[in-house]
Amino acid sequence: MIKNQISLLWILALKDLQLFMVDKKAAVLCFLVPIILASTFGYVFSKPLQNEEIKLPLLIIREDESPLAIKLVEALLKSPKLEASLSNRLQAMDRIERRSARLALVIPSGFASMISQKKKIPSIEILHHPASSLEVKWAEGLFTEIAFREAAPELLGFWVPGASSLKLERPFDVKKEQVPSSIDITRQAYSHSFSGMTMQYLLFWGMDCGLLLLREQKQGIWKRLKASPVPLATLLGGKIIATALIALLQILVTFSFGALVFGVVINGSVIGFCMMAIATAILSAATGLLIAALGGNENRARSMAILAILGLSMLGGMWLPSFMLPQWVQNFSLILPTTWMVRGFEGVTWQGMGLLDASFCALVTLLFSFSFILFSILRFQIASSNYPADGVGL
Amino acid sequence: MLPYEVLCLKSVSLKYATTLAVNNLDLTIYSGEILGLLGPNGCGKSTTLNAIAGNHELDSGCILLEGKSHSQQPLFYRSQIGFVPQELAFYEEFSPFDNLSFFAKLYGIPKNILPQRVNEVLSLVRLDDRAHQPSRSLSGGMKRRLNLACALLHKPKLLLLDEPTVGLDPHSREAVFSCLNLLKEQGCAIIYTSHYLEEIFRLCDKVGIMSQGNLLFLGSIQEFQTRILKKKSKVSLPIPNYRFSDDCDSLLHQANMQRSSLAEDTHSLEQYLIKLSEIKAA
Repeated sequence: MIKNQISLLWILALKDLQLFMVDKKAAVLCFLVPIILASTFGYVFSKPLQNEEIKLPLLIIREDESPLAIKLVEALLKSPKLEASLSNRLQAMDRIERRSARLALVIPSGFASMISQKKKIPSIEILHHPASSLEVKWAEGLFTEIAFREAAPELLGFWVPGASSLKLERPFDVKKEQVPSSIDITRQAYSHSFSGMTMQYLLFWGMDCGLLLLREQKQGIWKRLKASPVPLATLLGGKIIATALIALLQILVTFSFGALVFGVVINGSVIGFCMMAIATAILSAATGLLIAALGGNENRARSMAILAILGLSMLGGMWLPSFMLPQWVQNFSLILPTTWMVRGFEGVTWQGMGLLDASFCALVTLLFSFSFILFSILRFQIASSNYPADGVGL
Repeated sequence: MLPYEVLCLKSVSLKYATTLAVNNLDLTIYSGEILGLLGPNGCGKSTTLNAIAGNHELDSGCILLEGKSHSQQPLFYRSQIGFVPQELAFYEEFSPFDNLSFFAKLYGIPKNILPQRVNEVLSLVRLDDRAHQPSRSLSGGMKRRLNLACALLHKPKLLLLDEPTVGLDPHSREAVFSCLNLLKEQGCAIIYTSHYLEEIFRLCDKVGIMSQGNLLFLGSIQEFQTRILKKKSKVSLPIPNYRFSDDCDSLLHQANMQRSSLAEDTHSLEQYLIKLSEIKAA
């Protein structure tokens, strides 16, 4: 009996694999698309990281004619940490508004005289676009450092006795050390994009297979299959096996390409990677089945699935690493399968995750998969007895 | 071999939500017998076939195939049935040979006899010369024949055909009829739904008329002609969306009549049949 069911599962899966291979161009594209997506994302995100000498673009507006202000502006223009240029307030505001500049530093009129008169601590202004608040802090720090280094006597001379000959240099050196040391930041960007984009594509692949099932139903093939001496669970099992096998192949092909071309490596457990690959392939198939079970008809299911997949991808950290998302999103995303998929894959590739942690991620992914499958089978069974024979029922 | 009871429906009822699709249906079919089910769209013909095929749970009653119900032995039950849905239910991407091989495997036909059986069925439906062409390149008639062939591989005891001749050319229709007659001679019981009265008269031993889920009439073709055509029955069957066969078209042409005029004159099946017999007699 079991042997017979396994044989039937394979017959059904083989049929779907053959159908997949009928259109060879479509089959090739199916492997190319995740590679192109992952490579493009990886390239985009690795570029700024590769450049160690990132300069902060800054417009400088000098409204004070004092020698101190002139000296400070010259120092800012010479700074290797800035991409500074002179501007005026109106022009700067216009450029920031149009987003051709991110921020402008204003040395206001009376800046030096306020210092010399000891009446009030003067202010500098930083004009910035609402989206550039991080750069404001950067500019503030750089200006403070440059001002103290270049003009300490002028700035502090009136306040600190004997400061006229003061030259403030940073009295320490900064040693930078990356932890863990083995990680290449460029590879990290590619590892993230290959993990995220492959997983996202696999969910879409699952969706496509789910829609195919709904199409078979519409064409009457499903009716014929259901009338054959094959249990419903076996019919669905065949679909799961075929979808998961192709998904597994997609993972292997995409990551092999990533390894060969962009140096994406498995820093963690290789067995963990294999477990994650299998769990993710099964989840892809289970997602497809769930879409078919809940979608009702092809058009409705497609719209619903696109929304769900994009949402799950974003919240699960497939687009941007999850640490860049707000804390509440990070907490919420723990109930999403995509979080565990990405966590596992990123873990075993660039974070050096061990077998135990990877097994946990794979186990959670599998639990999600099996609950999807179980729910879908129940839904199919209920639907088959409730819907009209000529309608869109299962 | 003496005819024996293949299928028995006892007080079968089926509901979709609150709609009664099939109401208290009793039916018996013997081996080598063809039952034609007639009735307008939505009268419950397809639902009845799907229920017999085991695709729908019954709300009440039971269906016995060779004495066994679907709930008792679902896999055995389904292995005895060949089901031909209204739709072209095969993979257009595969050739007829590959389609049949796939369905043959599902029905557990052993590998060593599988190619031979597939070729036999292909030749039965006159598709042996197109065996290895992609199915999507076949004509409409050939596709219909392939649709039928997919249900014959396992030599079913009961064959269910849901409007198998829709859109068929005369040549393909002949091919289907000769195939069904051959199966009948081999002892296969057949249930055949159609809108074409002429087909039912020509092919079937028994006829059943359904309307709104009820079986209004069940009897032999002779009984049908006597009781319905000679107005001895109280059956009054509305025939909206009635389709006209090629034979009917030809008769209308001979009688110099339009389809629309026939449809206007006939508001029930018996009126239609009387009208048609009048045209034939004329």
